[in-house]
Amino acid sequence: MVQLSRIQPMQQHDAEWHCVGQTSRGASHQRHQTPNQDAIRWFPGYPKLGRGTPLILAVSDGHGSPKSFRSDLGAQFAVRLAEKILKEALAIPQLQSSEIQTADFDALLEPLQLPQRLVRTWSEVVSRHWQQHPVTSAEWAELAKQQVSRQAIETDPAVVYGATLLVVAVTDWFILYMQLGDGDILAVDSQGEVSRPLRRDDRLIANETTSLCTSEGWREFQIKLVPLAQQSPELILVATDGYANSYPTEAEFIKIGPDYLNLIQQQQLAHVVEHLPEFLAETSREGSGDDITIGLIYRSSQPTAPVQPPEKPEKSEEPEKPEMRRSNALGLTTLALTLLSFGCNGWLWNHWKQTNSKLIELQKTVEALQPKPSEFNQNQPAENQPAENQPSPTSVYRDER
Amino acid sequence: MADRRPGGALSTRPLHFIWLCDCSGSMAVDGKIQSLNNAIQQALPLMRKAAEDNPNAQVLVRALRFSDGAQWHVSQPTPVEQFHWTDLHADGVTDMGKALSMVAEQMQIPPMSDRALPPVLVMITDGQPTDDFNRGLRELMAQPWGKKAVRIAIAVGQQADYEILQKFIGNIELKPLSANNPDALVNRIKWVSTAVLKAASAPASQAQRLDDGQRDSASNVPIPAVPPEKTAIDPVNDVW
Repeated sequence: MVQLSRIQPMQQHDAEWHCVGQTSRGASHQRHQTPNQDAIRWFPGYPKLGRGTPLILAVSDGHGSPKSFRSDLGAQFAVRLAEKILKEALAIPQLQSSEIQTADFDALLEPLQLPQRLVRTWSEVVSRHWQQHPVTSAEWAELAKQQVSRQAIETDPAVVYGATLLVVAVTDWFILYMQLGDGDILAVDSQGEVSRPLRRDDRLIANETTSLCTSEGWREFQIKLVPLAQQSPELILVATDGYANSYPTEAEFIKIGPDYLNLIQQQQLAHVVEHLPEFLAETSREGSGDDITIGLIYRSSQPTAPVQPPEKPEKSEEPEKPEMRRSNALGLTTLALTLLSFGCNGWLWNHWKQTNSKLIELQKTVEALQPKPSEFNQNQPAENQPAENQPSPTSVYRDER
Repeated sequence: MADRRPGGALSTRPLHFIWLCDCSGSMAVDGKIQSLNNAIQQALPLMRKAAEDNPNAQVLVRALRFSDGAQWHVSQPTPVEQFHWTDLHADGVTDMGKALSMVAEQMQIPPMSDRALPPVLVMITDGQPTDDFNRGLRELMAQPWGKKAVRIAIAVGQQADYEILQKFIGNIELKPLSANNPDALVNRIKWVSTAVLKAASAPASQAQRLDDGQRDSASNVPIPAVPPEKTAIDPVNDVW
């Protein structure tokens, strides 16, 4: 499903690309005390202002259904792996040269096998996590209460982590769009006109979505590489489906494109970042009730004011799982050291020692979950060869309850 | 100064709930049609309460009757808080296929929105179709929302055609619900109006391979456990 645009490219040295974003726990998730199952990450600069090229933005929506009870982690894995894999892919010489202007984009993209690599690596990571973090008896009991089949889960544990993935990468020469599952990527030009670089998938209704967890899910990835040109977008928005589902029609939804562009141009990016939490919270409350995440990639020809992430990130409202604490290990360690430097008492010291040793152990676990070193070379493993010679997929993933 | 929120007017997600009621002559026997009227009347307050629990879903209710042909009993999608039940009367044959064709027309996009929640279609019948049921079902399943709807069937009495109702449900894991007496019918309708409604209004996504044209073994909405029912015929209470 690779689409290629053949507009004559041109490098845009006069523009600087910026990236910001925000995720907000849905109103219904707050009512039911379930975590935010969306995730967002960008490079460089996350969670502060992303600036320059190559710029990578990844957004993921964990499914959140009873059987996908670790989909918040699946979404986190997805955005981290997307960042890593795209960074490696964009570093290859074929994508670094002005020769891309005359490149055969099919020949350029196919060997990278980005969909296959993303899905395979994500599957490996969640498989390792599954093995290292067995389901507790309390979790099985809860699943049974919700009519989730234990056998179905054990047969296909990837569904426990099921998530979508949307990625946009901007280089000096092109923009790469990728999407697996529901969600929206909008491009806004200087006149405020909104377009969709990737077609909307009409099959994705009724909360059904293609996913990283479905067998051979990589076949459902849409990819489009668009060389940079004068008419390249001023603003690219990447959002989870909770955003679009909060509007009665497509027309009402895509107004966010020119509205965000105007806001950035009139009030600066920092101002928009400051207000994103309230925009998203209101939208979820009055709309779909779902988690909402948005990433904004803005092309600026003017200096940009410093941007800080909101003071109270959404995550702080959520009850943390042990797995989530792992990713906070270094931050907590730093905080503890800071407190100690101000002369905290002995109790705090002992408590910190115990906590820190656990956190360091958990951090090692996360590092062990990272994908293998760069695989972007010319020799592709046989198992990842293109689909032409493979049988049409017939296996169907369903709710086996 | 507070900025205006980007984007147009917001909206909660519509959840269409449609009763498909058999009004054939046999429903007049032993007070079945009146029991059906009573059961829906009793379930409405519970349905409103279930809808209130999810303010991000707008529950819109309609009702279709079928006997000699099919007609909309309540044609406009009506917010559940404004929905009132007018009693049905029974007479004629069982044109179930026609009823499915009429629902199929309403499952098109438009008038349905692609941002809606999965609709809930509840068939309540005591007999067998007297027209082309398969054609009606084909038309329903040809529509994206017809295929993705949560389809529940309540078999009133022991003469209902369970095989036909299973085809309508299209999910081998979900069986037709039997109601052989007025109390059982009330319980079935209450369950559909609350537990199923609540499940359909939850926004959780489901991973699906979408290249399967025929989905016949599972639902895209996690259906809650069906309340237990006795398996043996109760000669005292089972009047139908």
